[in-house]
Amino acid sequence: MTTPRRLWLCIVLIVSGIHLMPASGETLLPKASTAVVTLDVFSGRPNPTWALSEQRTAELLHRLQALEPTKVETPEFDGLGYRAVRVELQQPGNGAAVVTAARGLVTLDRADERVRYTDAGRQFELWLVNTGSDQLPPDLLRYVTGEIASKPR
Amino acid sequence: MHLAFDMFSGRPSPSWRVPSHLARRVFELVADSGLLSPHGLGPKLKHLGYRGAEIILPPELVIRYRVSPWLWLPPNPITDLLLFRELESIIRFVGFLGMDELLRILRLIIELLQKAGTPRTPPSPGGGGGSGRCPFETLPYDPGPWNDPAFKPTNNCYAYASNKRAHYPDKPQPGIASGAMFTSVTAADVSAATKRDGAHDAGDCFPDSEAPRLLVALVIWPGVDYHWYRKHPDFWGHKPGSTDARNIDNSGNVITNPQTCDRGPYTEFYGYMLMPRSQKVAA
Repeated sequence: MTTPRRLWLCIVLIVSGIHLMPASGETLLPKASTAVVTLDVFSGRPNPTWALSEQRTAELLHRLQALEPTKVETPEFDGLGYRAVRVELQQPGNGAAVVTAARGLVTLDRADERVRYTDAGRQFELWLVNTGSDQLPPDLLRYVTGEIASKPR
Repeated sequence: MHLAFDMFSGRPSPSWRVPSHLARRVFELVADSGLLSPHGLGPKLKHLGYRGAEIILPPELVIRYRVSPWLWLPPNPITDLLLFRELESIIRFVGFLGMDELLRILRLIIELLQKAGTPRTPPSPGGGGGSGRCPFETLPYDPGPWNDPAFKPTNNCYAYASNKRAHYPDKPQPGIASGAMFTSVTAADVSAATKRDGAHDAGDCFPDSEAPRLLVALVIWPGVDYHWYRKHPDFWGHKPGSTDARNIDNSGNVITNPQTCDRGPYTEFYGYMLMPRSQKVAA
């Protein structure tokens, strides 16, 4: 097992309250963690936020696990308009991890550790934004997904 | 409802009979823009170009809202551009026979107002006494305290514009400090809420006791969000949401004019306002 994989598994175990289900193979599923997504897009008003269901949280972790680690850094965009989508994973007593997707990179921050992953075609970012499709005004969703699609890197 | 625009020299003023299903919406838009107040109903002007709008209300609206059946709306540098843009959207949405000509005239008026541009011009520093010009002060550009992680997440553009840095529980919003936050993200609503917190439109001066009187600019992402800029001695500064305070626009250029800088989706420029020392800001 490579070092990033070990680190990832470690984080998943700590943050998400994993339990193993040997009957169906080694399926890793979060049990009691909460995952709150924030769309960093507004200046004046509070940013839109929504919670992920347990199923969506599990999918998030599986998608994250499938990304390739990278050492590449890209400058953040922090001007007016859509900047990033962020999800905060919380497990009472075990701290938090923050996953940020922007501009083709996914960054996992926990305590003092930071791991970066390549998000080819910004598919992870797009998926995460679309988990809010029931909560976000259609015009805003269209704008954000349009921004992502127009700048694949 | 009868609607006419006083704008031509030789030809008769263009006018329309607005159907009842649209009349109430037009009236409510005029009322929401504050143009039913006495100062909004001024005398007719005689210069060339757009000189004002005349509205004759149907009896049902006169009775229901207890207003005069005849309204005269002189050109208003603060509200006209917004009023006519919103009127254009309503007409496009509702529609009626003859609306194409009305839309053409509305676009012509919008173009004239944009070319005139006078209300968008900021007052000159320290200049008092000129018509529509008020004294204001600028503070040195100092982003450091705003980018302190203890303050950065909840001190937004409104906090930065008003220079009220604090430990807010969430981003402060116009109107909360005075008891009623804006209800829609329109320039009219956000600016009105900001005025309730203490600000004035530029041109409506504050006394010296309110120094520093900060010159700020309000821009709108229509229906979605608002944003503020604040004048510093040599350029403009701003703080987009929870990000760093900075003096550059979305293209990376130093902001010398908030009306023409790259503002991303904040496409609507409301204009300039003054925020006094006593401006109230709360989350």
